[in-house]
Amino acid sequence: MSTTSLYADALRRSDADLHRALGDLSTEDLRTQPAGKGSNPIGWLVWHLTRTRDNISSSIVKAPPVWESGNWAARFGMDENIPRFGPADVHQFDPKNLETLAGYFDAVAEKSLAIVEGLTDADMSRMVESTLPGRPAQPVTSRLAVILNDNIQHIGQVAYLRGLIREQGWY
Amino acid sequence: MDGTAVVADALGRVNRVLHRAIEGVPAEVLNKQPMPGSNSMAWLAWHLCRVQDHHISDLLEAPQLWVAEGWHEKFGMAKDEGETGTGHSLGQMAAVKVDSAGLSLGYADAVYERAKHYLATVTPEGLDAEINEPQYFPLPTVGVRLVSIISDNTQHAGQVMYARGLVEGFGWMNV
Repeated sequence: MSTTSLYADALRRSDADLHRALGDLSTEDLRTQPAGKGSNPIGWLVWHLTRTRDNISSSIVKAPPVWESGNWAARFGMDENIPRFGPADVHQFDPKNLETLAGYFDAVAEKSLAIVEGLTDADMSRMVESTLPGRPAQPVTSRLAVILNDNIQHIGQVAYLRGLIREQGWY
Repeated sequence: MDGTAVVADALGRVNRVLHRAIEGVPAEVLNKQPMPGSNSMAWLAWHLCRVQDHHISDLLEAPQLWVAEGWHEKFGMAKDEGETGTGHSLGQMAAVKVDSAGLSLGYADAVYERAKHYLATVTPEGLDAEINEPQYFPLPTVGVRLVSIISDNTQHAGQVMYARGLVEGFGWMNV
């Protein structure tokens, strides 16, 4: 098992868990704050984890993110500006519907897995600029480790929230 | 960085997330369900460590730290290597309690330290070795098993973080 296939396998396995947790959730389920005011809804979590994966994986190969190349900004009504959602306004995030939200995730998952599987051993130590201002450049392996950790934590959170809005024991 | 280093890095992140989420949090907060029907931080942290201990011990063909180092006693639970929390009812979940964050983190550090030692012994070719579990087809490899630990443990670590936000109030993390 190569390093790239280990990363890709871990992402694929967790992506399947995300699809299982999303299941047939309604748009209302995606918007709701099951844990109360200020808490992150499933819709925002999925959008956020997808944005993170999109930006970091694209930066590794210096390509535009799927958010831009796939016209997703317009589909989410954010082609003017992308709000930064905090506890006070995270409920205002509009996931549109499951088809749109999962569509963006699937497009990013597919492209990011192709990027990961296309990397060579020599690529792994190449330095990549951070997608956030003021953060240091990191080698490709560290960027991939960030995607892995960030995405899988948030996927676990989606599963936790599904348990809160649907019955216990759904898993 | 070879494959085993990726696994060690991922489990190191899980360990740091746990420390960040629960260090210094009072036991009664850890033992509390943040919402009706939800798993407590104590249970989530315990369960992810049980999964790591169980799987790494299997790969090592060694007794689990749960019994070998007496962690089951510290948690006041039965000496049962099969008890990992998978499939727990709400009642069973609520019965898993800690007396301090130090207990949760002590077990977490112990299983992580041993995972690191184990991973240092696995060669890149060793990741492709098959595990003798004929109930699965194709047979899982060591690499596949390690990937499943990363996915399980990282998801549960993310849940501990979310649960901390629920009990602490939002914006606690201050990114």
